[in-house]
Amino acid sequence: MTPTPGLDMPFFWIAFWCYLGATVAACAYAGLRSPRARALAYWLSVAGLAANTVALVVRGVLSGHPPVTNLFEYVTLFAWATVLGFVLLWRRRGAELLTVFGAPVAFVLMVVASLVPESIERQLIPALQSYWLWIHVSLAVLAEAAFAVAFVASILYLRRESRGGADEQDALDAIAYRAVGVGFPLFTIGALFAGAVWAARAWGTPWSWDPKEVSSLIVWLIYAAYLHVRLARGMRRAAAVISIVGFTATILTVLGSKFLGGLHAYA
Amino acid sequence: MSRAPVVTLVMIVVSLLLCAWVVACTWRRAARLGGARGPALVARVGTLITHASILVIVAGALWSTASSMRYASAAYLPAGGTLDVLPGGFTVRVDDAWTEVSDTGRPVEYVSLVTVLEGGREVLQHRIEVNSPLVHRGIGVYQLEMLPSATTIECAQLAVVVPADSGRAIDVDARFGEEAPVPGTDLSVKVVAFYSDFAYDIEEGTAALRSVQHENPAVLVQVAEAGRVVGERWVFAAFPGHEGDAALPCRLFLVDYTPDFRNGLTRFEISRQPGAPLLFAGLAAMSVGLALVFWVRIPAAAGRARKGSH
Repeated sequence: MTPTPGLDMPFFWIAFWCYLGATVAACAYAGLRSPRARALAYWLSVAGLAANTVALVVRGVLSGHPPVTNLFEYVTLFAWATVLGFVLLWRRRGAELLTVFGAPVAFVLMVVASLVPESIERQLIPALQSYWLWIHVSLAVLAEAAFAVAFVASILYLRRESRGGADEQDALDAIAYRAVGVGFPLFTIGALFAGAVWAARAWGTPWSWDPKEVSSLIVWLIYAAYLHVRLARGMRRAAAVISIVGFTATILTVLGSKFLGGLHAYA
Repeated sequence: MSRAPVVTLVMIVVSLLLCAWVVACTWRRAARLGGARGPALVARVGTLITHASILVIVAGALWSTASSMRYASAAYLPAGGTLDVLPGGFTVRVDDAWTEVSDTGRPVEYVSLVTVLEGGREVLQHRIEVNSPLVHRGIGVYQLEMLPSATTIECAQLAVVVPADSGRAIDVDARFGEEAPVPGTDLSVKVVAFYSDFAYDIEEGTAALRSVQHENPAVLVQVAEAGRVVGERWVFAAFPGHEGDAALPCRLFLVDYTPDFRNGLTRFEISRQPGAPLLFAGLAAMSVGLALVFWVRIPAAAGRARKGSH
C-alpha cells in the first residue's frame, strides 16, 4: 500500500516556523540583551526540536525505513541533530549565547530542506539496501551536527574577542574544541571508514574520486588542521577561523552532490 | 605525456612527503611515551596510533594505485551467457538474472545467479546482488546493471480502434504470446514479438534489434478475426501514427507495456583491489586512535582546553 504522502509535513512546517521564531528571538537577544528574548529563543528551539522529532518519526513510519535516503530527509535530520546539540548545551556555563544562536543554523537548514523535493520513497533502490546506510549516514550527520556547534562557538569566540571577556572566550573555545573532538572521530568512522567499506562492497572500490568523497576528504583535512592548530600550537583564534571554514566546507559537501552529481547523486 | 600519469606521479610524491612528515612526527611522539602516565598515556598512545595509521592508509592506497584493476563488462548477459574474467583465469556463467520489483514497479533488487567455471569445470555457485558481490581468487564480480529483457515483455497495453476508420478505441491488455480478445468484437490480438530498440535492416528487409536499451520499443501484433489470423503489424510506442503496409480491420496503438523483469540482462563490474584490506586496517586503526584521544581521555583533554573557563 502506498503511504499517505505529506503526513509528516505539518510537523516539518511547525519545526520550520519555530526555528524561524527562535532565530528572530535570538536576533532580539543580540540587540536588547533581554533574558526574556533568550528564554523565548530557547523554548522555541525546544518546541521546534519536538516537532522536528515527530516529523522524522512519522516519515520513518510512512516510508518503512529511517529517514536518511534523500537530501530532504538528510537535511531535516541534520537540523534535528544540530538543535539537539545546542539544546543539550543549554545548562552549560558559558554556552548561554551558543544555544540562542544555534537556531539560525537550524533555520537555514530547514529552508534548504523546504527547497528540495520531499517525496517519500517506500522502496529503497538496490544500492541503498544495506545496513551500512544507517551506519554511514547516521554517524556522518551526528558528526556534522557537532561541527555546527563548533561553528557557532567559533563565530561567538571571534565576536567576543573584539569585545573582551576572556572567561567567556575560554568557554566558547573549549566548547568548539570538544565539539570537534566529538565530531572528528565520528566523521572519520562514519563518513570515511564506513563509507569506504560500503563503497568497496557495492561499487568494487573503496574510493572513486566521487565529488562527495573528495569534499568529505577536504572537510576531514580542514578539521585535522583545526586540531593541530588548536591542540599542538594553541592558536585559538586561527583554530576558530578554521572551524568556520570547516563548517562551510561541510555544508558544501552536504549540498554538493545535488549540483555536481556523481555516485552520491541520490543523496 | 598524458595527464593521468602526471597526476598519479604527483599524488605519489605528495603521499611520500606526507609519509615522511608523519614518520618524523610519530617518531618524536613515540619518544615521549615513556614519561606519560594515566590519561596522558592513553592520549599519547591514541595520537601515535592515529598518526601511524596514516602511513598504513597511504600504503594501502599506493598499493591499490599500483596494482588495482577495475572494468565494466562490455556485454549485457542473458541467462546462459558467459563472461571470461581473464585476470582471474575463470569464467562466470549466468544461470539466471532478474529484477525484483515492488508493487509500484520500482526495482527492489538486481539478482544474478552465477556459476564459476575453471577449465570448463563448475567450482562455485553464487547469488550476486548489488551489495553482495562474488569474490573469487581475489577478484570481485559486482552487480553493475540489470535491464529487463530486450525481446520479451510481460504485457502490452494496446488501444484497438475498430472499425479502423472510427474514433472508438478499446483498451486491451495482451500478455506476451497469449491471445487476447477485443471486447465487443470478433477480433483478437496477440503480441508475438518485442524489440526494445527496433530498427529496420534495409539490406535484409527485416526488423532487427539495434540495442538492448529500451530506446524504441515496438511489439509485433497478430490480429485474428473470428479465430482466423488476418495479418500482423509492428506497433511502436514512440510512433503512434505508424500504420505499416498490412491491411488490418483495426488500428493499433501501443499505450504502454510491462517489461519482462524475470528474464533480465545483467552487466557486471570486475574489480581487484589488493590494497583495500590495508586501507581498511589503517582506517580502523585511525578510528581507534581518535577514540582514545577524544573519547577515552576526554576529561583530561577538556581540562587543558577549559583552562580559565570556570
